[in-house]
Amino acid sequence: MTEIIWLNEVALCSFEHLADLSGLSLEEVRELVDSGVLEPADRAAQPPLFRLGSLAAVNSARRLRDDFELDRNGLTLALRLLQRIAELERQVQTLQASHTAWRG
Amino acid sequence: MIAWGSARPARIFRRRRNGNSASVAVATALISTTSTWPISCPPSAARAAWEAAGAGQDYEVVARVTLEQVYRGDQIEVRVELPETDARGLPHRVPRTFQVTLPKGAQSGQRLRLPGKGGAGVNGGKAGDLYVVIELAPHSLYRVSGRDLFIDLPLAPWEAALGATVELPTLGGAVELVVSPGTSSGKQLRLAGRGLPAPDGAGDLFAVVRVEVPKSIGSRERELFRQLEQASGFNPRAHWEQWTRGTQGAQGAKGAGA
Repeated sequence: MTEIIWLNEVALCSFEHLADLSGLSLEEVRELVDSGVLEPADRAAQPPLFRLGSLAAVNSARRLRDDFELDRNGLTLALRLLQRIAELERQVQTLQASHTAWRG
Repeated sequence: MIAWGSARPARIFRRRRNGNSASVAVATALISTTSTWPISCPPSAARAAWEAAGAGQDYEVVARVTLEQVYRGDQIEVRVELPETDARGLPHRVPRTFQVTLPKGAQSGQRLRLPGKGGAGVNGGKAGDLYVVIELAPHSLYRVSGRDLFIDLPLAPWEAALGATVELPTLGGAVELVVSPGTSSGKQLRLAGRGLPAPDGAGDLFAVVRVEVPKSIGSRERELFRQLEQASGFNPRAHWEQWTRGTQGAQGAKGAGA
């Protein structure tokens, strides 16, 4: 049976887990948190826990770092823009979904 | 959009963990569509370190599924062609098929991780992972926003005016929906918990009212509409008239003061 892990917004994982799966160093993951690109599920929890869905963001970070040779500032900027695009896409989808599909 | 089932190439996704600049084409449970082309990229110091660990590549495939499949949590078949090297070190694409049970309520864009099902590791390194990206196919009735669903609720003018009981199709079976008298187009009637299931609570289903008028009417209907027109004091554009009166009044006062 194939093991399947659902990367959703409910299941949580550790800082080290994100680093291990993405290929980023712990320092790089920490910088993503400090820059606000990566948001802990609970800021008060120590050590901080992250949503499993955050793995997509850290994987993107690793790909941007490796494929485009981005430095840390460039990486933060690119990830912020990607997150902004994703947020706007969600808003567009919600607006489109909530309006009737007039056929005239 | 992806042209599934056509001769056009599918989306290419790749992730790097080691030195191979390989790519993998997407194959989904619906139709297996494959295509490849080389992608080159200069190695970075970070990637070189990753290569040294011998870890296999991660791959991503898109699985286009229906709303009904994620609602029920169906099992789907995901087919991919993964690059592998044979005993002589020659690269080959090897077809692999995985049976994947969709988590109930998985949303478009969410990923499923299949640990160790990506590219093989080298020099004893661990295998990469396979990520299955869920993509919901458009539905003929429902529109999706996260875990919420929206459906158009067409009403006849007299149903909207007088109220009605409508049998509404939901993914869990038909339900009776009571429409209050005086319901206008655009009003959203919420059915709590009738959206997509989720670990922290199911989404809602919203029925969006759309009052429809028959394109052609018979003489009897025309006569009744005429009677209604004469009997009714309803003016759907009353707020326009209020605004016009207000504007004209302000202009008159300004003119008088000048």
